[in-house]
Amino acid sequence: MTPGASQHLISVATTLGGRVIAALPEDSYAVGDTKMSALVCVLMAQHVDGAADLLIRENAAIRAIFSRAAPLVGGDLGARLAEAGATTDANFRISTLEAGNAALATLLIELQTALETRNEDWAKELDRDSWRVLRDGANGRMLQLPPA
Amino acid sequence: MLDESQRAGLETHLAGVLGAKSVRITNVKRFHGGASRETFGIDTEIDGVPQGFIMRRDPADSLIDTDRNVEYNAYSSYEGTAVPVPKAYCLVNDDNVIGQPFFIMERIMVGEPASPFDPLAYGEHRETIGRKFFSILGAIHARDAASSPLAAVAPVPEQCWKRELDYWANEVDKDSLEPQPIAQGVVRWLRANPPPEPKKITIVHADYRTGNVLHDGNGNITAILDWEMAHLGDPHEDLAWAMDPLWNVHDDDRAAGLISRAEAIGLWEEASGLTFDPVAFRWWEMWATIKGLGIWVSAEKAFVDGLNPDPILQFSGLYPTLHANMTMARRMAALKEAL
Repeated sequence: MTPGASQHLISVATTLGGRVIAALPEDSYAVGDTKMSALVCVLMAQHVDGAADLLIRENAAIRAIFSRAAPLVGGDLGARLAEAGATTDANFRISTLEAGNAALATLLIELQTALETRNEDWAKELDRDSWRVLRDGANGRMLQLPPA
Repeated sequence: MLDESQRAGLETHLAGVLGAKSVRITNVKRFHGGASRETFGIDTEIDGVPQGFIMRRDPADSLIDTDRNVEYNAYSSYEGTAVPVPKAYCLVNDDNVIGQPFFIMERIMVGEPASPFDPLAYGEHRETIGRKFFSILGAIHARDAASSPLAAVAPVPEQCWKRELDYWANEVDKDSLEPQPIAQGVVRWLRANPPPEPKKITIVHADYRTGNVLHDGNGNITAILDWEMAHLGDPHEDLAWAMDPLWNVHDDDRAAGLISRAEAIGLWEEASGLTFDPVAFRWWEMWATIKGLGIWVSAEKAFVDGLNPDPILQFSGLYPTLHANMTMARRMAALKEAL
């Protein structure tokens, strides 16, 4: 689709921030609402472009952590980690990827909590690596505000 | 915004509070923002003389659950001090005057808030504002808390850190629309590494940041606003919140995007008479991101649930949420690397 979703959202933001605001009474509450709505469109334009790529990479990285952790952690948690580590994304719709990401994140909380109770080197290494995955994901999700 | 019945009720009430023969409301304007409480500018004629007021009214769904008694008494606690605050005139906790609770305070006629995300907001006065910003924060903490009006409505906590962490961690748990592995990790770290007890319990503004400060465009701060979360506690809480990277406008070398962190801390120490504790600060700056996330996810939930359609809540649940997660993840990853 050309222009793409990001370009359409930028166009909406431009219209809101230009013609729509100009038509509103200067001191009306709607001016602030419209500015905020335009800003949300600008941010979402950035988000939609990279969302699938980020989620696919992060889901794969978390699954890799789970697969490494499963035999070391063992027990019930190890079994669930092995199972989750072997899953794949059913498709690349953002809603599907986000649902998968949420399920993986829930199990990751459990894994990190367990790792923090252990002193073995492998546990520290896995914990460290899992935080690298979270850090990289958080960095990748960050959006940039347009100039004021 | 205010119907005829509400206007009449407010006019009568103000006349009684001010001892005026006549009060006539000439204009009402709602200010944008005010996520915890709706803010209105009320223009009046008091016995024929123009005077402006601010009315703070509870919204249908607040971004932050706060007690208007606390906010009103926080303003009262600094009346006539070096901390510039508007005079608080009256507090109405029932529905009898305008149909819902509210309070009235002085309208500061000089000054406007700067965008917290605009690095050029103060222009050439950035550093001047920065020095005043952190000196005033010190003055807030220098005030004797026990004798303040706020102390009558805000209990002295036994463990400041635990109360604040319990509250905001619960907000994150209660209102998150998705799992929060980063925040959960930070909360575990905070519980495992509590800060030292504060040397002094002070009034804590609890939302001290540049967006809640009015400035006149000439390097002067004319008012400190938005005291709705004020309480008694550890002054490092305010310092950490004011220095949270979200408010640094992309310049992590400057506290609040204004002056160097070292200078900010020095000015705060000088004005407060307190000593900066780096161990306590480290804990409170980690906590500040949890508090921020608690506010942002609550905003997002209120918007998604349709309880409050204000786009400022939509934004709050977007950019600041991502920023809080990024800050927390970077700090936690660095901590783990250092182990």
